[in-house]
Amino acid sequence: MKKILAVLLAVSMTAVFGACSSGGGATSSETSEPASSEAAPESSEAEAPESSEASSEESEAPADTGNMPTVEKIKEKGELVMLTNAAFPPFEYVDGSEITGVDVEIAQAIADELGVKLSVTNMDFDPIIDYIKTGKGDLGIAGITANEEREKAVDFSTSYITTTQYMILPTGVDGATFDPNGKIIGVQQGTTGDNYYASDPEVMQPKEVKRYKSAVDAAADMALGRVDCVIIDEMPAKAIVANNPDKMQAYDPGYDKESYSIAMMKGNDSLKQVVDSVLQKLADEGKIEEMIVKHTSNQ
Amino acid sequence: MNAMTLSLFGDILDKLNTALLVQDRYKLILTGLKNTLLMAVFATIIGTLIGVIVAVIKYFAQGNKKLTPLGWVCDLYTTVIRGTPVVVQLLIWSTVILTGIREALPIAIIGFGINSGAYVAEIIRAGIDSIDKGQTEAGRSLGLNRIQTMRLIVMPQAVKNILPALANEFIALLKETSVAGYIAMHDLTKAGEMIKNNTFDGTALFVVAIIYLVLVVGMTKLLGLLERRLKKGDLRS
Repeated sequence: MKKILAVLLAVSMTAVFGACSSGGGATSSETSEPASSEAAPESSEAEAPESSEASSEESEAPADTGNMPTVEKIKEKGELVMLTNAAFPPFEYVDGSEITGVDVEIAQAIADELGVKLSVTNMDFDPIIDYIKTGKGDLGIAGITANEEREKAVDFSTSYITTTQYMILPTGVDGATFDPNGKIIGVQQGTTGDNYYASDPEVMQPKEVKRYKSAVDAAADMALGRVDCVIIDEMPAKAIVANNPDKMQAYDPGYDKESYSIAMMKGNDSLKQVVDSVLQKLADEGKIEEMIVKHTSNQ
Repeated sequence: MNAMTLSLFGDILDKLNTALLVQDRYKLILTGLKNTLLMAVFATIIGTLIGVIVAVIKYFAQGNKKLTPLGWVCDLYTTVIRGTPVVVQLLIWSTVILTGIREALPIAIIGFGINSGAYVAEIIRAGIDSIDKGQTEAGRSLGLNRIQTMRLIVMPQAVKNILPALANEFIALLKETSVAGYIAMHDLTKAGEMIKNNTFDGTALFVVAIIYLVLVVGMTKLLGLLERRLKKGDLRS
């Protein structure tokens, strides 16, 4: 009897919390509008096969402007909070005691444009979209691939880099003949390589997918023989291999192109304008290329 | 039931459907549950074995010069294990010590088992200390040797005293296994995270929380029954 009571209590608790989150959580996608029109064409191409029913039934509540980090509010605060996962070289990594990388420099440029100081929050990759969605940070800049699923939760800036998924393989394994089916694949949890490649049965049927906190951890376990292959974005793959050239190699399996964008809360148009204009300026001046070269050689 | 309650209810059902049924996501939770239970059960067994051995060694080392170094080793073990976080221990087992093991499950079982052993040892030591010295003296004077006295006289009484504390430790261990995701274990918590990553909705985490809760309530119930069964002996006298 007590057990039943406890279960009932738990269910009612869920109902209460569920109600709160569906009411207050800002999920304001104007269903018809494809978010960030410039990023859309490139990213739709990057989409790996994926059933769309997943979260299409999500209820859409009106935008909660209460905690939306608009330009005005950021200036008032005097601080731009960037959420990232600093285990993704050359985009974000820890250098000495400082978090640096291409994404951090871009964020710094945005902060300079706004005239505020930049604060970098280093966290796991997979909850970043959630945090941005609920206003726990201003910008998600973590080499985030803009895709349809994520666009349901947040708005994306224009893309600032085009990349693809790579395989990291032990030396001596021929990438051209390597078949991921039936093998143990290591990924960084919640990344494109996880959700749209290793975990998508339409793309591959591995024996097991091991989900790590970072691609660096996954590659370290590959060196110990615990996984057969790591799937991660091109540039981090190259950076990781560059640190362990005698143990592993980077291989381009020829997957679809995808592009990175900056994530922000849905409907935060004032911030999106600033971000897009800064990205445009950096791209026009060739700064992003420069940053990549600098941070790749810095590793 | 007014319309708002109904739509709220429908909303929750929708979310549960997305979290569990779409793309057979409940299978992720089942795999996770299986691994969580495997970790908890085997770590409990290892932890109990280590705990009993360490506690007995510590007890005998008190009055025996030859066993003193062994007592120090046991002290060191409980100090180090209880003084460091389980996540750090797990990462050390996985990346530094047990590099020869490919699967994450045995590493997690060893890590959690050795961790739990230190806590169980302290609980059992407290249990042994709680038994009056006269019991040991009586056993010895009846011609039982030290080990027999411990096994037949002291331990049965000690276990009854420490059962609530042991139950607490086992419950804590079950919940502690939720950090196994750090070494890429697909446990219950990881299953919730994976579904959350696919749906950008935290409903699966509630499902996971409820499963943990049901497991813990079930364990509490079972251990409560055991406790009552052991108490029957008291009433008879």
